Amino acid sequence: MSYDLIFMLGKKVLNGEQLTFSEALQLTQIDEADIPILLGVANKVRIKFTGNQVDTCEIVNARSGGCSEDCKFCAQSAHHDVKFDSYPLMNETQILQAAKAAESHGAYRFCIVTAGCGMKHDPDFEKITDSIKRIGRETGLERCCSLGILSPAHVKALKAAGITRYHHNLETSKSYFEQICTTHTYDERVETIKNVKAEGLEVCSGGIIGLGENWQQRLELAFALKELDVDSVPINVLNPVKGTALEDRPPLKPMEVLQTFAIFRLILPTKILRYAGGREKALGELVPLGFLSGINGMLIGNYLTTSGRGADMDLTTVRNLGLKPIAE
Amino acid sequence: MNSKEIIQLGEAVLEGHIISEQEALSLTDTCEEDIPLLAAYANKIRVKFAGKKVDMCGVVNARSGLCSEDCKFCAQSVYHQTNAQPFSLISNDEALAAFSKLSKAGAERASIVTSGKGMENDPDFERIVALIKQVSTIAGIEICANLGTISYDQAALLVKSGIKRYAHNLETSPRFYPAICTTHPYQERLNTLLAAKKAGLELCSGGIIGLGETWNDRINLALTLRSLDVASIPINILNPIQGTLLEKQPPLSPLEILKTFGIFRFILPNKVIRPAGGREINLRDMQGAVMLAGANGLIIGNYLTFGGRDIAKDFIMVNDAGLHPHIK
Repeated sequence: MSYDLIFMLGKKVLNGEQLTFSEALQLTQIDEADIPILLGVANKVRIKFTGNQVDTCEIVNARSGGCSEDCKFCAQSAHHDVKFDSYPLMNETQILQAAKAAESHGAYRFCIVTAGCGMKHDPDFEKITDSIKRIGRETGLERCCSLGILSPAHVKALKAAGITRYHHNLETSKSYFEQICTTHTYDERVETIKNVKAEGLEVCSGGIIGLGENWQQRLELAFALKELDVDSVPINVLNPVKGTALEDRPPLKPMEVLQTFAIFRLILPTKILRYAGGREKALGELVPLGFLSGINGMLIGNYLTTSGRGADMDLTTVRNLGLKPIAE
Repeated sequence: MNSKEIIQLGEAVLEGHIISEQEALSLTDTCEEDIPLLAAYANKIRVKFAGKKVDMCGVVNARSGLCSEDCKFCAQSVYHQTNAQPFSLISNDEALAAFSKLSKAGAERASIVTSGKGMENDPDFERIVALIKQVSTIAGIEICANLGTISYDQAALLVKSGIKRYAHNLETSPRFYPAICTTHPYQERLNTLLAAKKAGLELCSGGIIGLGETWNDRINLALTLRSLDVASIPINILNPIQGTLLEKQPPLSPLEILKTFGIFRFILPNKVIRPAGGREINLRDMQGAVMLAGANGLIIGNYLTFGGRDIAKDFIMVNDAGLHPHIK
């Protein structure tokens, strides 16, 4: 009788208690016919702890491709032979234009993303901080960035430039990370997140599901994010890009994707759980159900190397569901 | 109802409880944040009593427009000036082509539909019977009929010509019906259903929501259909057609539509509940959600006077929801 378990654990979370790892693992084993009930419970948890608001964020791929790292899912890795536009850092005007466009699409946050392992000895760093300052002067956007591995000095400089939140995914669990990337370690990622937090910046960190990880590993990621007390958790669903090592990875079933969101919501009741890349392909017409399954944030517009379904459509969906886009 | 009461009632229905009018009305008080839970229980009820199959049905408008009746929603009434093109009864060849096309697209059943109040003194009736006999020879598709008011004798003739199911909507509750149609009484519709049933036909009967009816009316319609033991319940959602009296009727919200489907499933646990015309315009990208809120059938392809969407999309949607259309 898995619904008994769902209600018992749902009630526990609604009462402000923490879900344990083994409890979360039980929720991965429920009958398929009970998954919608789990989604309904996650929706209640989300409304109780985060209200009816939906956080919106748009990203710009400000420097694309040629990355030294070998992340198996990534179109931008130099280790993969993928057809897409590779380009050096956009100039300040181009980045500002992207920010203004994002604001007009209804984004509350804007994130500058660059390809590469990180900012160590990176000559572009100063140009990026200049762009961040400019966006602060000319838009009302919350400013985020995603620049890879950072030193404490970088974090200080970003904070001074006006960054309020730093994005850096853990991607997957510690135990699965080596299957996904061999050119840097999971611990380096954790260290960057700790450096960012030490300076008082908020953190946006999540990962990708459907890489071949098992349920246990997916939950390890959720609990690692909980342990790090990150503020926002973007969840990508693998969109297998041709030419990457994962191009033939079979897709997750849509109901399993929704189940994952719901379990993440129960593990992370108060955080922003954010729709990110791959959702359109993985969920098809079930995308709106994510907003009723624990999701309370989303990337709008396009992703780094793949297209989204359009900000207008997403914002309309959110309003149709009686939810409120944060920028409205 | 609050979530606890929804769960209790849902569990009772799963155990075979037949819900009362009072219980059904209490369900209509469910607050927005609990609608996913209501939908999830409707889904469980549907899986338990009706399985995971989705019944895919098409319609063929075999004679259109110039209808003597004044149904306020209808583009085919002579009382309205609409863009719907009237045409007389299609030929046998045209009918064969239309039904074959639906069969090929995946429909497991399709209904021949004619405009007009009914078949009393209708010179086309004989030709329609001949036409049905001919289309009944198409392999792999069951033919239903939707010809308006019919007598017992006509129903018996239809049975002989190969029809197993007769479609005739009640449209709305008996209380609200006079506000929708004044040229023939509700009782005439009931009489047709009873005559068809007596002749051994299964019944397909539902209605339209969003006409301006109250929740009471909707519940009353569902209970009336339950008492008639209809096999299939198409639920149209008003698509306000320019030129009809309801052209300015405000649309229902997608969540209210989901709630309606969920409550219908609680009332009619083992029947085919079928989203029909108006689903695209009213549910938009929430059509996948309704398949997990108790619906287990669809009208696919085009409707009588306006277009539907690509049939292949509906098959993908149903599969994404973990459900199974009848596969040919």
